[in-house]
Amino acid sequence: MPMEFIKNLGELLQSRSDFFIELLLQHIVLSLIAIVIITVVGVTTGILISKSQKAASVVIGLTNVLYTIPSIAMFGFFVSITGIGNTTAIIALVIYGLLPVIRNTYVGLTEVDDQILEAAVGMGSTPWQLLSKIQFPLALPVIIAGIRNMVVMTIALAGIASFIGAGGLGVAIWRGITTNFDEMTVAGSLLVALLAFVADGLLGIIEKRLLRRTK
Amino acid sequence: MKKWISLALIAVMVILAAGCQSEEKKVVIASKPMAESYIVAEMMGQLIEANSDIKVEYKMGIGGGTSNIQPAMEAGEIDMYPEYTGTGWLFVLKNDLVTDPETLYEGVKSQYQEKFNFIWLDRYGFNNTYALAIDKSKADSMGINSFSDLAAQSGSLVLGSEYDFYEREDGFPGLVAAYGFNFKETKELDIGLKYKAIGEGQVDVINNFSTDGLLAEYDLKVLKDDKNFFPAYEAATVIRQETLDKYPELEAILNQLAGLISDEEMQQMNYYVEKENRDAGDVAAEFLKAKGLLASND
Amino acid sequence: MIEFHVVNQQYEAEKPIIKHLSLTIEKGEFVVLIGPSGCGKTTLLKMMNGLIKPDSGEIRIKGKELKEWDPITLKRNIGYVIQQVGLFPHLSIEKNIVYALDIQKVSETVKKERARELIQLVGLAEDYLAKYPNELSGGQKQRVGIARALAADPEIILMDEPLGAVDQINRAVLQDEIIRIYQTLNKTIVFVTHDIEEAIKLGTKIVVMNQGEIVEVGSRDAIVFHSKSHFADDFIGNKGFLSYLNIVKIEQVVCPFDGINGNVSEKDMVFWVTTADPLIVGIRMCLENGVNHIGVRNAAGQVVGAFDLGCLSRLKF
Repeated sequence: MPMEFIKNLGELLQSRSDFFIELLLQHIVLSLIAIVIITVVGVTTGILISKSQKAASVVIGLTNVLYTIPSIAMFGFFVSITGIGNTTAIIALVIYGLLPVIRNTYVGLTEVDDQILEAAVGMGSTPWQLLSKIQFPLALPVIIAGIRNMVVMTIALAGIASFIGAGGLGVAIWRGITTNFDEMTVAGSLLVALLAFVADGLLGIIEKRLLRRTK
Repeated sequence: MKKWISLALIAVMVILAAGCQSEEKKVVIASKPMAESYIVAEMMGQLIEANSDIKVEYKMGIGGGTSNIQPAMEAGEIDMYPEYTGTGWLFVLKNDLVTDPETLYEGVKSQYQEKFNFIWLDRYGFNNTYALAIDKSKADSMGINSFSDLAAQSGSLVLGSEYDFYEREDGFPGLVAAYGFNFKETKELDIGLKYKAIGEGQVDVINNFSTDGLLAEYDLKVLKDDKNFFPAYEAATVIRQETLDKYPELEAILNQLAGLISDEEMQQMNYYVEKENRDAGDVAAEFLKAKGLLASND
Repeated sequence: MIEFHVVNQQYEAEKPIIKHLSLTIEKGEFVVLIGPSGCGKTTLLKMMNGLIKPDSGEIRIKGKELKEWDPITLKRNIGYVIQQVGLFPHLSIEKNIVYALDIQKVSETVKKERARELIQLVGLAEDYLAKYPNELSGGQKQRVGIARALAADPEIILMDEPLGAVDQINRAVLQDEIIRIYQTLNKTIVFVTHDIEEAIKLGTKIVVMNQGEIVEVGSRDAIVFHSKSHFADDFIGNKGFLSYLNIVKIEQVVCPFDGINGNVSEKDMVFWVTTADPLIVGIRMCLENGVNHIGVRNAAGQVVGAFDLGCLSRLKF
């Protein structure tokens, strides 16, 4: 009976709020660390490969392949190398998050209008000036969109991380699954979804602010 | 640009804060992803914290169970966890089957010490092995107490089990060879539906685990494996020698669990967690208090 | 100012873009490179600021060999205007205009002042500085494009078919603006176009190219009337001539009254033009009204002489 379920769910969240809050905080930290690493590495890589189409196809091709590996397999694989716990989870999350960011950075930078680049180069911009003053600002909307994508995905994937001993809301989800405790599973999942929703919303606001300046 | 820099700084600070844990006394307890494991791990942790100033960190529900816990133990990432003798012997040590439970325990104890420098503490008292269960009243009326009794009357009974069990050598085929079962009918069922099936009378006998929580709900009797076909899966704490060296008091604290939990008591606790959805920690605490190992006010 | 000496350039073997080309551009000239598509005029232009490198031959900019110029410094010393303008959509018009100064780390106050100066120079109101490129029409964008090229006050300005994407009406207006700016600032301008009328109207020196080679170089008059090559003749054709008539002013051919056949005097004049009117206005007036002579006044209103078709022989070239 759905009403009964929802009632139990509400009671659970209320009575074990400390538990859930702690898991939520763990989840945020775990995701945030991965997100920051992905953003820094991903955007930098995207910038680097934008100079060479060959390098781009290699790098993007590689991350594409990694991306298609089922996440549980990826987590499991790294457990055998770096053991269980948060470190492994972060490594796996980073690998998944790289593709959207690298690809969007690359596409954003290379799709800037040729004529704009020609004008900037013709006026004596150094390569760095071209990148920082012209290309990057114009690519920003696409890059932000990629980051937004990645953030939601990372928060969701972090839910699986508890499978290999990491913290986060996945602990609740996994606990619920292994003890046949549906309300627990749903509670965990709900909070993950909520977190992703909020993060996406925040990034949407940032995106709009940046777009206002980039016509 | 500035936004990225400040975000990065926040992240660095967060990482540092999270990573900088002071050099306090701490042990890590792991559990497999099942109710029973959660409960016992909680007992271990609660006893440690009540009787010492060592902090306990739990890594509950490690996916893959032993296969991921073992390497983590070897790497020192986990200090201790509840394990089964059968699992250690067959799965970790990869030995051939030994049927006598005592020999099995001694064997696994000495080989773990030799190979990994891990110590098997005293057994808790319950044996979570494969079992055959039948409705209690039926068992009483037909006078069935053991597998052999069952075999004798199997011609009039229906067995329900999952695909895996019928296929494994150490499952049904082996059982038939050992006891000469001759069921009237064998039905194939989904693991999750076995209890329902026997409850509704669709089958008479099902295979299960001897400490299954649902046994109590359905009023089933677990039959005795008189020829010891199924290996013993007696549970005990496996702990790293290094951890014991560091905190020698742990041995005495943890051995309070020796012989403490019977099959029925484990069943009951599993029931509380799996069926009544109570928190494993609460159930563990309640049990320990009832046994006088934990002060009632804790 | 700019010298090319036997320059060659090609992307593929057997298909040279520029063949053994030599050319000298003096300071203060308005040089127009004109020719059919594929003649190499844009390639030639882009060699001047280093965007394209020659395969062989020598190029000197302001006396210094191209190889010795630091490529970035060279570009910063030369203004560059392209057909699609290429304004930076994420920057305001003001920031667009002073971009060349921005990359040389010029102070804010200087940049602001310069932006104000330049927006007025190109004929747009100051409130355009706060707008963004997407708010401007094609013609307005190109005015900004020109302002942008002038920001660092370079001696040389390169323009690659800058009015190609501007509509017909605005094109004429902008051509006049460019002439005005040229006359005001005294820059050396190299201008690529495929429009003959535009070439004759704007250029002081016209370079006719075909298939990577220079066919002819000369002043407006020389190209229209004394062309040495068949190709140039055909290419310039009547359109060029017409353009010539549109741009050259009566001022250049005014005759004194006693120099005209028939001994006319001021009092005989019925129709009048001014010294600033183009030749074609005078010719038309004669034809439309069926008169042989018309009177000419200067800007101040004083009578300076007469105009008739015979006066055209006064054109010196």
